[in-house]
Amino acid sequence: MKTILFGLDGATYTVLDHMVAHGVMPNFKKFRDESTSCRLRSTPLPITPQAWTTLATGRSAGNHGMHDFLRYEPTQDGVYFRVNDYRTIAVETIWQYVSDRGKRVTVLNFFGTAPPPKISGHVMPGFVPPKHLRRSSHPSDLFAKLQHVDGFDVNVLGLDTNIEKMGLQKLDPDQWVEWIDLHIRREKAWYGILDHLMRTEPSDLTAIVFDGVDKIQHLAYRYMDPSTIPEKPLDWEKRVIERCKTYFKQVDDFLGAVVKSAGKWARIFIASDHGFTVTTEIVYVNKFLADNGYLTWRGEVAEDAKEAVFVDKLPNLVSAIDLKKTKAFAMTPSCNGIYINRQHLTPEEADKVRDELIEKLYKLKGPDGGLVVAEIKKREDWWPGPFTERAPDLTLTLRDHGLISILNGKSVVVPREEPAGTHHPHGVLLGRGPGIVEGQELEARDIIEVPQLLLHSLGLEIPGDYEGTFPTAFYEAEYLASDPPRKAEAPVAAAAASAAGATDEANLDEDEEAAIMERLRGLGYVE
Amino acid sequence: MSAQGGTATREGILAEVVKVLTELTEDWDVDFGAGLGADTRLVSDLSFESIDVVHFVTALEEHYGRRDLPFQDILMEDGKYVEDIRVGDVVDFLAKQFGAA
Ligand SMILES: [Zn+2]
Repeated sequence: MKTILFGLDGATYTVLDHMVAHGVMPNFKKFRDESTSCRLRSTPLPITPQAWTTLATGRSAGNHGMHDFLRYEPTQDGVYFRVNDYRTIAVETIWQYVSDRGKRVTVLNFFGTAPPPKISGHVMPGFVPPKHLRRSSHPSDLFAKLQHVDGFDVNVLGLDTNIEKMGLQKLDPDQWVEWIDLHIRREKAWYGILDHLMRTEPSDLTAIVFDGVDKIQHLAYRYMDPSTIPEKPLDWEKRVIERCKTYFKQVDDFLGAVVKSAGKWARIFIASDHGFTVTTEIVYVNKFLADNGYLTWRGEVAEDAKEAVFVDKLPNLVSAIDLKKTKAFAMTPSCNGIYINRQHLTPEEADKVRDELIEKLYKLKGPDGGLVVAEIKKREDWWPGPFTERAPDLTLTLRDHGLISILNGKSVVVPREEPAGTHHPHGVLLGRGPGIVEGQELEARDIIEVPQLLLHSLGLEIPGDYEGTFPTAFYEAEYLASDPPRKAEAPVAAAAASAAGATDEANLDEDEEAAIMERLRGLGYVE
Repeated sequence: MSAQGGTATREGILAEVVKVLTELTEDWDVDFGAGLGADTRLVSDLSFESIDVVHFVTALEEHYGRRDLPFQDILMEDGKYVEDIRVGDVVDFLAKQFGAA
């Protein structure tokens, strides 16, 4: 059956419900009433590249290899960054899989879809600067065809990293509205393409991500979460609140139009790659490492003054750290992690540094005396597979889910002047259409299971190496009996590893656990 | 079309790099003046930003069907990223990689 994935990067019920309560999203409200919905657990590192790629592959990041936006490779005397792209993904994507089975696929604005796969259908990638968007689209004449579409503007569709970074740091009040409006225009341009392609060259699987949800929430989350909205907003804050509502109203209009044009015989899934919450402090991890003797700056390094988690140019940071005199360092804020400088340490020394860091980090206190680090993930435990080493040695979950800063700070933990938005591991998943239970709310599911819903909806077999289990509760039992999900046999060698590593075992509910045991039993792993 | 296995010439590689670069910058808003050649500098002549270098490297990798070329050798010096690169430097690098005459 025709299937649509309506992606909302970073969407959370906290904000969506707030918008519904204020009458901003009537179409979403109706959609939720007619759908099965649940919270969606993101990948163990809840960020865009890892999470959307898991949704697009059915595999965990240790297997698909897309851990972060960048990956770094140590060189003789420094660090070389590679930007992750479609070629980073080591397993087959659903885009390719569906296309190979004779169906048409449209993929719009997803991270990591450039250089574009040569599928039957359309690919226009996200996170690509305007200057490179034409060449990064597939088929090669897609761009030319779309140029006549109302609102098509490559400078709006493409991602200007200099502008995007602004939303991740303190911004002057008069720039807020302008910045939110830019994202309103971008979404409109992307929707224009979606609408045009759905009408003129409809696909069996149509998938789009609206990433402004994430971008606007990073900046303006405190004006959308009922727990942080000021009681008496200033004039400029009132304008920001209005523009945020305008943004979500527009997304809601798009949803309404998509539901209408898809018709009755289609299924629509709304999914986010992660959720959002409020962050109230900044943790300067490299400052912590320097204070504790694990990192040596090259000379004086200026302290961050803009509450910026990003550095303007990553290479500047790299040259600011004296790697020859450094045992551990943080390289990108998005991976929230610490790398042990294994190049300059023996394996025993590296293990010792890691154990010491875990102990010290768990004792790290904020200015209020509270413990700051909620959880530390070791890469071999959370990202098993051929790409474990793309994860930092240690991944931190901070008490407020904040992203670490890789800059130097005046102290290790600094309260923010105003709260900002940060990723939360719980996003959203809703499904609506024939066979799906209406008005049902389920316990949280895992993002790794979403592609199983999509492939089943398209009438395709689910590859045997997909991790997680099919969320049968989405469907009426009677319907599912007539159209059961078909999963191929798992490749035998991989089955045990993937079943063990797929999900946080503490989070496994009994059904899932039983299903995994069942699968293992079927394969003869368990008596 | 791809220069591999030691059969390539430096002139051939230059022509290919210029072709890739021309395709890459086709609809950019920059004025090349004298046209692209070995002396063209990516940053000062073509207004490259670091993300453009990434896309240029990707385009070359795609052109040659190779992902194992150690571009860090020309993009980094003494542990730091270089400020600018000449097209000729890229050609020399590729010529060395392909063992060109
Ligand atoms: Zn995201």
